[in-house]
Amino acid sequence: MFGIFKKTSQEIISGSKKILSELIPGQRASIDFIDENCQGIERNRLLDLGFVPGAQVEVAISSPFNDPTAYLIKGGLIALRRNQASKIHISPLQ
Amino acid sequence: MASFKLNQAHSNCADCPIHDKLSLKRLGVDAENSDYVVALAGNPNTGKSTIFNALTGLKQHTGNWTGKTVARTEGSFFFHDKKYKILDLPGTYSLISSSLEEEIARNFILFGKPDVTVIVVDATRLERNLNLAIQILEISGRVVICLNLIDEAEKKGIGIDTKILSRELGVPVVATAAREQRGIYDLLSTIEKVARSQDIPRARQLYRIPSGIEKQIETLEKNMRCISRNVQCRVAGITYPRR
Repeated sequence: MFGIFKKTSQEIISGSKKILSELIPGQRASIDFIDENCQGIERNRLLDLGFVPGAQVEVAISSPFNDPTAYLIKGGLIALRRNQASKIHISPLQ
Repeated sequence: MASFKLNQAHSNCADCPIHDKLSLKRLGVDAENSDYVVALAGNPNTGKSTIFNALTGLKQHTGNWTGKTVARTEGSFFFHDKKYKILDLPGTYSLISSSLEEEIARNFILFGKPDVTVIVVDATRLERNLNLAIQILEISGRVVICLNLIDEAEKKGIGIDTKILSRELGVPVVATAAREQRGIYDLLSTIEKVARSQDIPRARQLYRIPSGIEKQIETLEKNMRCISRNVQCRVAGITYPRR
């Protein structure tokens, strides 16, 4: 019943509550981890594009409905679909 | 008389860049009966096609956007009396492919067995480019890292120590600015050295498979070879732990 309030162990350690798709252009964040539900090719793709734990990311350009949104990460500009960005847990930076 | 003097000068300075310039003969698409096969691999938009054009004299379409090259393109050149076939592969972020053009690149690097793989990396985005480089180094040590767009990096104030990078990776590193034809002959002579050498350079391995698992893999490999001689047993890019 309280399943929806349950946090994964990774979430408790990092204290992460936000996901990348919630940010607006100009905001910066540090990546905590990729959702456990995101596995296989999808997960590898995100890691290959540079969305690895500890990496800093900035929202660069956003399109209508924020889908897709372009992110500046590790010197590259990478566009992600909203549902991809929602798999990435972050800690906002000031 | 003048031409005689010129010839004399060549034989005396084989190391001179001008000498290399005169020994390169661009052959365009004529890629038959080549002595060595060279593959150009790298992340999207790092200048692979520009390097390809500089080496073959072809006018392969180049552009500043991702996904421009979707199929592999062949070309060739003569260098020091040896014929090289060179393949311009589509850009890929990883060997674990997720799209058709990435699959083309991966399959050739894994199964095409090129004599030399040139990994073109963007000097301004080195960190993100080294992901693919390290995956390729897991398959082959016959690699030359081509640090392209070095002019852009200099403009941005990024300095890269190619000697240390080369020592860390265990393979030669050459800085180039293909657009301005800078470093192309350096790259050529390095490709030649790797292609002609008998011993394979020891590339850096980031992750070693535990000996227990390694033994199991060897047994499997033996069994697989019983079925087919040409079977490729190991796929790179998945041997190191991924979070």
